Amino acid sequence: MDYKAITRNRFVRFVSARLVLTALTAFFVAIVVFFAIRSIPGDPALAVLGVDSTLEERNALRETMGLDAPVAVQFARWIGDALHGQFGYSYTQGRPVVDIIGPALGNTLLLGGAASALAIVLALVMGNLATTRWRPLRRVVDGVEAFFLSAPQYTVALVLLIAFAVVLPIFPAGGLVTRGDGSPADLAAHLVLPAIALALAPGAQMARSLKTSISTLQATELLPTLRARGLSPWRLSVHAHHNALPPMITVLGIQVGSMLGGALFVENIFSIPGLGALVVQSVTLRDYTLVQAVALLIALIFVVVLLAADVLNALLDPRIRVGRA
Amino acid sequence: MTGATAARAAVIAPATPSARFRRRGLITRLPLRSRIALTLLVLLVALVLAAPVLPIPSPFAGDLGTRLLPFLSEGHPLGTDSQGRDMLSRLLFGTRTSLIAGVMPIVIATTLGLVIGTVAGLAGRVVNTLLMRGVDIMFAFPGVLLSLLLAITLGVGLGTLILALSLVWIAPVARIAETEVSRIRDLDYVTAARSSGAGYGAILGRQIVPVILPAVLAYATSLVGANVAIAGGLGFIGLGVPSPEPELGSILQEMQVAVFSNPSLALAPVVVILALSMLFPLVGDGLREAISGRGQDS
Repeated sequence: MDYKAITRNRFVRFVSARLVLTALTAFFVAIVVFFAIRSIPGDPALAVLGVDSTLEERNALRETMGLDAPVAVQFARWIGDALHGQFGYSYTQGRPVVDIIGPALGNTLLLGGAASALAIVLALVMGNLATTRWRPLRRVVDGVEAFFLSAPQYTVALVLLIAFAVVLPIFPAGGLVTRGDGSPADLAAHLVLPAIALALAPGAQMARSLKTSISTLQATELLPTLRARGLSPWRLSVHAHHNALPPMITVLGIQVGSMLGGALFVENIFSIPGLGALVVQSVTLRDYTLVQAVALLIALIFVVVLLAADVLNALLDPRIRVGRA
Repeated sequence: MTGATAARAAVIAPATPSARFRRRGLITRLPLRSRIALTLLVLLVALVLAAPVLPIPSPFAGDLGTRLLPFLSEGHPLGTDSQGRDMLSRLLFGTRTSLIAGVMPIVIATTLGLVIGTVAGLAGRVVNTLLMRGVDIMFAFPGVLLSLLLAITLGVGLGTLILALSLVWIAPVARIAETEVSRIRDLDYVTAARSSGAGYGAILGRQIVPVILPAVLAYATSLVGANVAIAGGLGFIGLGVPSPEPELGSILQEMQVAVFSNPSLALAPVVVILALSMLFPLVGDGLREAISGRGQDS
């Protein structure tokens, strides 16, 4: 068997092992979400019908909601429905959950995408500045990085809102579009502040990873050798960044989790109608069907992103495929 | 990088596991920024503990005639909130709640995570895989989302908030503990202890835990910052400590009404949360540096 076939074989094995693990994780995630919501004290039927309802009315509703079946059956039904794209009915909004989630998901992906792009740019800039020869600059970058890493997103969001939307009204204070103005520039202006609030921590975390990779490389003879061969600084930099890429992708994958969590607060502060704002809103209204669906969706997005990061890594770095999954 | 560090650790770390911490005070080996952060934290804690005897108004005493007073108002140096309650007082008492909600879960999670991590690290392949895959699955939840689910399941209140946040941090601590254990478990001094008849518990208590504990505790100290941030976030969306009780996140949420009218008022709780979530990692990272740099000066 030729070498290429062997690596391809290993790659397939790595990806299928990861797929199995992902499916398992998704299943456990579903169990946690389902039972967390199910064990909330209180009677959903009572919550919907109010205290004036009769016992018969409540029992009838419980039956239509499927709450009279054993818990395991309810869980199986819920999973089955979810796999068919049915997440139930929101009692506070009087609409199927899917219809509510759809646009919110789009908005959150838009915000998350903008934040990820910004984080990558931030990481490249900070990671390279942190490995320059000039010590004072390195120290400043380290300080900024430490600040970005530990500042909670909602505090950053509030400071940005106050500074650049209230005191200096450069950017809009909330929402995603100005009424009657659907231009991409308008959308971008609305995304700037919330995306910055979400991008700082992931950007700093990736910058740290890039810094480690580059300084490890600087300790070796590779870069001087390449320079001696007459490679341009630009080509040298490409070589240095190629090595740094896989760990950065892993970090970005993990940080998507913190972005999804941060979106809960940031979307709320900037009134962006996304999944995060939807969770908070449905928690406040005690609309648990909606909480359940959105929580499951957010957790599943994260699981899939982690899978994608691992597969992308395996494509970029042959060493990962060979090692244990 | 890891190869070189591990090799050096292998040579140096286990020689006299605990003696090297006594040789020179840990605090004097902290980087300057960590020492400053530690001092500020101690001052803050002292101030918060002294809050009940300080000459400030009660954090619950509202007066609708003095709503949203600006900074440096008479009798209210940091102004008042939307119900006319003194902001300085609410921030001090709120910091106390937030510190409890920030530190207690990490203490609980570190204890449990240490147990899971060391057991997984010393156990055979099957137990290790089971435990660490379980940890992986807990990692599959964004921490904020998991704590939010637990908070609504358990109901609001300081006790349940602490419980929910504890569950969030078990997985990260367990993973660090397991990594640390797997780095040292096959070293000669552990093998020597085992071959001279030391039992599982004795190896755990004398050869493993004392060596990994400093690193785990340094990590846990950093985690307090992130935990304060999440606790504040839950308070911010109304899942923290119930309303009249001051807590930094809920104060922030109450002050959101002032963002457009009097933005500086809304910034006061922001500054305190920022300070808490930065100071703990500064101390924790300094501790980690001081511990891991322990071989370099000998």
